[in-house]
Amino acid sequence: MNIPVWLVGLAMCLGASPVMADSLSNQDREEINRLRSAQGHSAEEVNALLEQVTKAGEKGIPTEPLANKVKEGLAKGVEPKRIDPVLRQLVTHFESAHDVLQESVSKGMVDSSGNRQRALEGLAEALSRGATAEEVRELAKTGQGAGGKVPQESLASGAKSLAILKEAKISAKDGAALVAEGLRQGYRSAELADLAREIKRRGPEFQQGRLNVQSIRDQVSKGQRADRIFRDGDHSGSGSGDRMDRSGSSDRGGRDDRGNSGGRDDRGSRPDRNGSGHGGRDH
Amino acid sequence: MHRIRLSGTLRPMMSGLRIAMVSLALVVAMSACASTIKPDVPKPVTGGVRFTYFAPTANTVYVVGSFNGWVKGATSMKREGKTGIWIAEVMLLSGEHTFMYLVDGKEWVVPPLAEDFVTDGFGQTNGVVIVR
Repeated sequence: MNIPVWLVGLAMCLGASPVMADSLSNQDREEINRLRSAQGHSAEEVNALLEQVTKAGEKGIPTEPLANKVKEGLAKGVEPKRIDPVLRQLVTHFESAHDVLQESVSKGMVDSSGNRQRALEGLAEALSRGATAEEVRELAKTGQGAGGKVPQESLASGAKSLAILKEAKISAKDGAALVAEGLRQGYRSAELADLAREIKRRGPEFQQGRLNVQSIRDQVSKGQRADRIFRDGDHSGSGSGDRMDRSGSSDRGGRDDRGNSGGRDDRGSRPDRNGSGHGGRDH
Repeated sequence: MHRIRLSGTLRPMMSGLRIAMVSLALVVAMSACASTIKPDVPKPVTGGVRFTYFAPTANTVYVVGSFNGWVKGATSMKREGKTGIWIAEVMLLSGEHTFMYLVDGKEWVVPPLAEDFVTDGFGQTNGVVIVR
């Protein structure tokens, strides 16, 4: 073997490290520097943030959402020292998400096929919005249907849906039972999240007892699809029930949450579309 | 069959009335068109997602979010006549994106209407646009 081939081989081996390190892209680095410069911050102030992102990437945490958070903070005129704790918290959520996912896969509850990064992002978001690691582990266990393991992206979406339900002041127990039922029934990721958001929008009706999670869960267990639940059975008589009707729109129906873009973000919540107060947590 | 013959003075009157009616119809049609654009949650339209924001006194409005790397000037909104409504249509990948409006280059505004809202960790709230 001549030297160049040997070097290429070594480079390939190093590149395929087991933790699948993610590095900060040059584009992200440049954009962050541009924003830093526009805000009049020194390179040193922002370098600490970049270092944090780089270290997280070396552990296999996706750097894109972390870089996005830095950009967002700088764009909004937030001091780098105030961005730092927010970034640390985000990294912590990703680490927890990574641990929960790895554990669930190793215990045979979760299927590791599919997009790991999207799953990690979804789980981190769920944790930041108030789902706990323990609840996610339980969901991985109870969400297994006849088909066996829960796909990792479905687990992430289920966890996020649970977090949204908790924001809607649905008890963790009821929320988890509903989400687990959705997972067992093979709900698509977008379906689960849409159902959770619709329940959140109708939060007062649940709190006043005009709607209850148990009846929604019963419908899910009978195979009712999410977009039919409020349209067919608007128990309250007060809502239009058409917000869940995504399927009728050609550009909305049937696609999985996030599609192929991996578009991801930080999450918290508000209970209503027109912003009458909000819950949720920072991410 | 009888034909009514209009007198010399009545004919111009009828013609004027016709013009007035056509004008009225046009005004009604135009107001109907204008009323179709109103502040709403970001909606999918042909060619992207339409953002609408009501800011009658603003000089510039930008929609800024994760989809444009939080770059302030990346996506400007256009004022819709004198309605006070600003509009931008943006191509977005499927998924969920956070955003805010930036008014006159300095005021970050929480979107009044969005499918969901999230706190940003810095004390503000982002709107969430979901592209399915």
